[in-house]
Amino acid sequence: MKLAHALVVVAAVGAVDAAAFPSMVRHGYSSCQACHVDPSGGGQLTAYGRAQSDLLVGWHIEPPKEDAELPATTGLLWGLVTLPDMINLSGNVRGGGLFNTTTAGGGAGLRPLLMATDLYATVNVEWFVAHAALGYGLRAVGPAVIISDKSGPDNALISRELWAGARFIDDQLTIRAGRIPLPFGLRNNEHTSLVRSLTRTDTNIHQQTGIAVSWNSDQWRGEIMGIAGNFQIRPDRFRERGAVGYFEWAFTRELTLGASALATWAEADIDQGVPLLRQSYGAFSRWAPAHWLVLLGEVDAVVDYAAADDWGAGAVGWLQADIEPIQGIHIIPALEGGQVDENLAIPTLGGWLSVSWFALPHTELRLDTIYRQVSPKDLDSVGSFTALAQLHFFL
Amino acid sequence: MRLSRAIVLVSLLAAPALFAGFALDGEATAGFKATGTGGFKMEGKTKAVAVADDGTNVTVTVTLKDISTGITLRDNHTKKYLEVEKFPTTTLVVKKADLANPAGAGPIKLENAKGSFTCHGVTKEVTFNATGNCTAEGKCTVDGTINININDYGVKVPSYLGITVKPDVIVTSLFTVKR
Repeated sequence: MKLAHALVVVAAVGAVDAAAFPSMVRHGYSSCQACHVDPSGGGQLTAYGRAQSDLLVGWHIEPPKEDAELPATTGLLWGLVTLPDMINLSGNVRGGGLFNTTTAGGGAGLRPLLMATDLYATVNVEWFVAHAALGYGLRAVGPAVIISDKSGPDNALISRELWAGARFIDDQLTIRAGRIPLPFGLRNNEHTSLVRSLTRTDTNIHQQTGIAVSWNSDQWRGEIMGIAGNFQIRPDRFRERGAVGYFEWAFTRELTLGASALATWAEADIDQGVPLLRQSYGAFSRWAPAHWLVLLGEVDAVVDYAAADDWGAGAVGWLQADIEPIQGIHIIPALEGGQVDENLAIPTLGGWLSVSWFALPHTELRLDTIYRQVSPKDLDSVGSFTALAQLHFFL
Repeated sequence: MRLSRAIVLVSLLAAPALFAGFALDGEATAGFKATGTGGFKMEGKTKAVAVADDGTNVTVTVTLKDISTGITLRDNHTKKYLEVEKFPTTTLVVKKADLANPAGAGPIKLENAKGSFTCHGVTKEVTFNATGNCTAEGKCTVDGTINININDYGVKVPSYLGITVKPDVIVTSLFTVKR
């Protein structure tokens, strides 16, 4: 394990790509599939999900009239375009400004940031479903790159998802193959959180090609996936093979508990360049003790084995509160910690404070502030502060 | 297509009927639990519950116009599927002779008790279950459920924006009665 890995994590904090809403458990939605094309949540919304985004997520100056039907603005491009039911087109555009500085005098300073420009397309014909995402990646999107002008992780044509599958048994069973987000843990918006980064289950870049089987019922949901590798990186020795999956049980409408596991092998790890058996095992929970409050938690053990004399084990955790005092306005503090690097004196610690305002239909204004501290052995601790303001349209 | 979701009904409340001679103590709730495609689920609730005892039957009546599922639009669609304007209530009628009359404190457990359930203008014989507990002071808390299929009552299966509600619905009730 390399200290550089932890420092990269600090530097990478920034692009928060809110595309999933695990806090919808406050509305009794413990399953994600009704609202998302991906049966495990996140990414493109279904027609039903677009409706919920207006009814339950959006901010309203005045409550909807008692007899009001769904506004046309929930449709594609705010209702300007109508498509047949079998075709679902939409987009995800995020941009803003990022400020980053460190106590060591480094950091990125202030810079504009384009986080996502994805176009989504899904075709549903009876039991068949096919889904694709295509976009432009400005920075640090290496594992998702299709075409890059300099074979690097920046300024590239990217595809995060590309899969086809079939749905059976009242759409509860989905079998699909292709490039799929790894089903592991909370699919939280904060994709650069330590739980996502250190387990490499970031929905922004860590999709893999494989075959997955998912189940979504009112009581429980889960997905297991056989990983054949990320075929958007080469050569083949960098591709991870293995399996990943999760299971989540809804004890009540507002309380769930889940477990996840991941095990992959690569001939040459993409970060460390050595043969690596990578494993993560953990638990996660979602709980809405009150309608205005949702608590999200995850803890994972991480074991990386390169050789008998080169392996490491650690843990990473995430605890977040989603406070919604008024519909459409969220105050979201979170704490995180993790240590999978023997070169750290103490675990990396972080604190998040985010504010999100779904001000207009399909429009979110969000501010994230993040502080992380890395404490290498025999070196001074380095703190990193990041502030990210962003405007998000989901078309 | 109507919002769907919704549906059903009712409420029933079986359990007050178990305690003829008892009166409702405090608020009662009735509701339903429904599921749908892709893991969809919804619950509806109302406090508009009344109990009447004519000496022969105990009748539990639930008024549907205020049933709430947590989303106003879904409430409206639910009521349209139930045709609440035309069928404003659901009822459960239980013969007093069929009821156990608890004499004292202790747990309550009724399985497959019989009643007559009316929803959407259709009356069917049903069975219901109830659990609860009675105190020495004569207060009994009861939790009752009944499983119905809305097709049996002529209620159209709700479907909205790709989500279809399953016709099997659980009707629930929770209340306290006092001697």
